[in-house]
Amino acid sequence: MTRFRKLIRGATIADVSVVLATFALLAAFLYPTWRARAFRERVASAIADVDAIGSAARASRTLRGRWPTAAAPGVAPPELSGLAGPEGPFARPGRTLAWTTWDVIDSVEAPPDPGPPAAPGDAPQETAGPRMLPVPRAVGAVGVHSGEESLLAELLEHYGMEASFVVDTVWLLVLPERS
Amino acid sequence: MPGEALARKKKKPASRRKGKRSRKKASNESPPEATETEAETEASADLAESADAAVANDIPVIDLDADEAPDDAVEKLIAETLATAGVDDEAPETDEPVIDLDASLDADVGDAGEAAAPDAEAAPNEPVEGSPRATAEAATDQPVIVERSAGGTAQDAEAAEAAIRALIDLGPTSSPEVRDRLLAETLAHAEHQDARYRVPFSQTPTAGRWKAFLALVVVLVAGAVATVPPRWARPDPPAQLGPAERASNLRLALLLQAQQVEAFRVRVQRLPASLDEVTQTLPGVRYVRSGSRAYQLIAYEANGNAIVYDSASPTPPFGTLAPNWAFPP
Repeated sequence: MTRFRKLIRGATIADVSVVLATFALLAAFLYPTWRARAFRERVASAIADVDAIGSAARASRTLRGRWPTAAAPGVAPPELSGLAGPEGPFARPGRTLAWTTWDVIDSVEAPPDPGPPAAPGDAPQETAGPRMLPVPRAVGAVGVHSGEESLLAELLEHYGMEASFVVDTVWLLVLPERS
Repeated sequence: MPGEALARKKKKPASRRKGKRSRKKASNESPPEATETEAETEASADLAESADAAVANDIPVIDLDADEAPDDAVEKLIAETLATAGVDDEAPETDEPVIDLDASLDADVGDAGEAAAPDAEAAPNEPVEGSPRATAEAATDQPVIVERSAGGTAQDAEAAEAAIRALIDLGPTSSPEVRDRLLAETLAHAEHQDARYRVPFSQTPTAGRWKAFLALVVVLVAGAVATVPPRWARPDPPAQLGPAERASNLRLALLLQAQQVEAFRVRVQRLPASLDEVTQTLPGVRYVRSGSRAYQLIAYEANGNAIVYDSASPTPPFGTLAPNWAFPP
């Protein structure tokens, strides 16, 4: 207390007001900037993690001919064990990444059905279009679970709605390659 | 003390400047005026003692209180004294010219005495051993001076006076302790005066007004920046999902979830009883079977509006979605 009194000895109310106002001004300038900078760092880190998982999954698909098996959020699939661990991208403070596989339906042209053999004298069969058959395919997806909606929105803006979407607290990036 | 001694010399009568001895006598016989009363008292006592001693030694004593005329007695005494002094002074008389030092010193007594007076108490009138004055006296330059002034010209007299001035060394008139004490007292006085008249800058009216104005400006600017930050003062806000964007995202989610149901139907040739039977589910999506061949997927927006995907007749908004993972229609 004595040191504080020595410090402010000779200071008037105007002096104290100037100092406080200056600090308030600096805080008003610097705090949002500091928060935005920290947020940008989190976004960049999340993008880097998503890219790392996507690249590893594509490499695994190329190597094995199929996507890595799905795993729970925060758990690396066995095919991506190199990314597991506390230093890996699946578990980060403030967010959890997940690798999942989804089914999509592709329509493929079915081979023509020969049908019953025509008897002599019958009229020829009507020419029909190609018959399409639904075929399920597997696609991989990287999910980011986070309660920070602005982070998910930044990821959606970065990857676009053609490949990703946000539902609830999950952002999902679907890798379109079929397997 | 040099000053005091020189002052005494100045007050000596001219008749006693003939020799060193006579000057010393005169100096002893004429006490300062400041102690005149004490000197008179002491003189009376000395006279009484001298008279007693003279009577005892059979020395003739002139009694001024006798019936003789006092004036005659005094004149006799003066004449006797002068005769005795004349014998003393005439004895060492030589052919060498003599310079009257008192004459040249009289001019210096005033200045030198005044300059040396403050330090008179601190330093005795004795020349400090090793000082220039002592060295000069030890060298006994007086004969040289006397020789120079032997010609008696004015220039020689001036040269002699200059030499004497060079010889006059007031010496160390103060000790280092005294100088330090004086310096400390001077500095303390200056500091006291400075502290007494120092006015803090913050308490001056002009500075106070300026600082108050500056404080007001800074407060207003800070308030404006805090409430309505300008563009240059705030970074770009993070991305936010608008209502339309949220709806589109929900439709994409329903479309992907419908793909899971269709895949289950292709594999199992029936609809799942619930979403638990499919491999993957999305949060916030409800599944409703409306028969053996149709189903609905429902999701709700934040404002409560429901977005429904009907497998029998998907609504046009679903047809406009073109995700890169969906099979092109």
